[in-house]
Amino acid sequence: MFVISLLQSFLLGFILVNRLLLMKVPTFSSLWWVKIFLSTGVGIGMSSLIYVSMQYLFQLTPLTIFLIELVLLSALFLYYRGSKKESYLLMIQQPLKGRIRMTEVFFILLAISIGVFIYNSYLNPHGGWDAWAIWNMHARFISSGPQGWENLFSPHITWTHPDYPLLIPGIIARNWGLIGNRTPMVPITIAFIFTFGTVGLLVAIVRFLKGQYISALAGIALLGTAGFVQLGASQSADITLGFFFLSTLILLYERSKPRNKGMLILAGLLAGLAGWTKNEGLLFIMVFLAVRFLVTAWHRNIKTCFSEYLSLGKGLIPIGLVILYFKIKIAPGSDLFNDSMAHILDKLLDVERYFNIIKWFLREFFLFGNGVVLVLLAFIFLAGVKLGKEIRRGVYTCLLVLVLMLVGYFLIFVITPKPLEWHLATSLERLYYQLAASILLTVSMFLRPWSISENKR
Amino acid sequence: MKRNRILVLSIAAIIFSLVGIFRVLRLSSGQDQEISCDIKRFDGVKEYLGDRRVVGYVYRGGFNLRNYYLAQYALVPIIVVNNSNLPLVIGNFGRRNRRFIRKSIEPKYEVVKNFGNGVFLLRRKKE
Repeated sequence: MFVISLLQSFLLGFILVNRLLLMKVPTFSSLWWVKIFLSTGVGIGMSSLIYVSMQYLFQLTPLTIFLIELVLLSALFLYYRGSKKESYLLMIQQPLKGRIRMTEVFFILLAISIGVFIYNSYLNPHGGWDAWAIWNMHARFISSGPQGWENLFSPHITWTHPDYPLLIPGIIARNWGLIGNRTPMVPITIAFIFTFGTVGLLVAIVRFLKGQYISALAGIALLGTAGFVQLGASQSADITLGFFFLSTLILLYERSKPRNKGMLILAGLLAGLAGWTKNEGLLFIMVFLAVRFLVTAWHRNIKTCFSEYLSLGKGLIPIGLVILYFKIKIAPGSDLFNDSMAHILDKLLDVERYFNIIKWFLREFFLFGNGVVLVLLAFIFLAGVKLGKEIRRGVYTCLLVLVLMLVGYFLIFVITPKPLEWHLATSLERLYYQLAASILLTVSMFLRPWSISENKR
Repeated sequence: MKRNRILVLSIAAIIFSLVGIFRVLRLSSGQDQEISCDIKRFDGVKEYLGDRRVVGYVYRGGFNLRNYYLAQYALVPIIVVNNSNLPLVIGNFGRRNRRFIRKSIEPKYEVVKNFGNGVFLLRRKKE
């Protein structure tokens, strides 16, 4: 039943992604894999959203919700099957021909990482502290029916952060309900999909834009950070969030003419799913919308901005409304914002606090993930920089989004009501992991692509 | 020249991935203690409590956040409040608890059920 349920989620995502991207791509090509990974994320996110909404509003059984989803899936299939088929080009740069034996190194590392993930999951099937004290705990509550829903938001257990969004608990509860028991196999599988889905998505898109060699380097850099697989196996939501950040950002490289509105709708939908995963996703939505507006206004005009917002909104608003309802009507306020204004102002004016946070940010940045930043700098130095004109706008937009995300995280630390050192020590590294795949995507875009044919010249 | 740079780059990537593998394996060996056994200790408690919504929590020695959170994780959807003054309380005492129960627990609580492995359901005595 679990496999059928996952397959249904995937098909739901596949129909939506296929319809919105409108791309005809050869099977097993890089873009085909991009579509597959995007479909998996979108499908899981949508299934979670449907399950949580139906469960909360109508107290339906998991099987009934599964059947409703099946009807929706069939309706979407029939509706889109008859619609006009167009083909858009996702990005204009073509993959480089030729092969350098770095891909083999990547696949060896990938195989070892999968082994490590399975071994870690065997040792800790319930995941790390955050998984069982937050995400799986919430899944247990919402899979327990109306009493569970009520109790999750009890003021006695605010330590489990009931204000956190429900993408992961929702999809876990959905599958537990369908299987009929709370097996750890469900959260393990979901974590596996997002961990290696992120790696796959990064490698596939970089391979298309920059060729095999650079894509293998990007994959090696992500897997070699060690903590990435570790965090994935601990069923952390940060990896899932990172997947949705990356998924949204890759759609910024769209250069089709006429503009593919479906791609913007999909970007809005994926940004919305980031907000449905973790509170940091809400920051991402704001940053993404602001940057998109600025960049479009700079390159084109305000009128285009509004037309783009209309398309983004079609994907974002349905999910945004669910998040808004959850935040306003159901969940308690976030513990990060329950300080008094006077306290917040004191912290905002405390210069020493800023220096302390900068020190932590820099130290963590250079030590992060096995020193991956230094390795990336070496890659840039050795490979050289070549930023194609056609991807420049996408790269600058990604860079701006990433910088503003870091600024947002920084400001949260400035006003945090929690002890600063403790808060930084327990969360900063995880925040970097949320952005790791997106940073690697952006850095890869700067690297000069190599191929054997170029090398022989 | 370009070939040399590719070579250096490849070697750097391979060294980095090897260090990564080494670190992943080292991190794996230092894993957190498996919690399945801790959760299993609470088997039966939930069935016994029926549709009760809230129970208290009492422990032995210093307060252990992990043990308390695990008790809550195991007993969902019942709410476990870190408060020993509620009418019905979960006792989480660990092994070798007989003397502790006789000395510290029995004067205040009546043992409703002993689930084994140091887990008890207690009812607070009226003062």
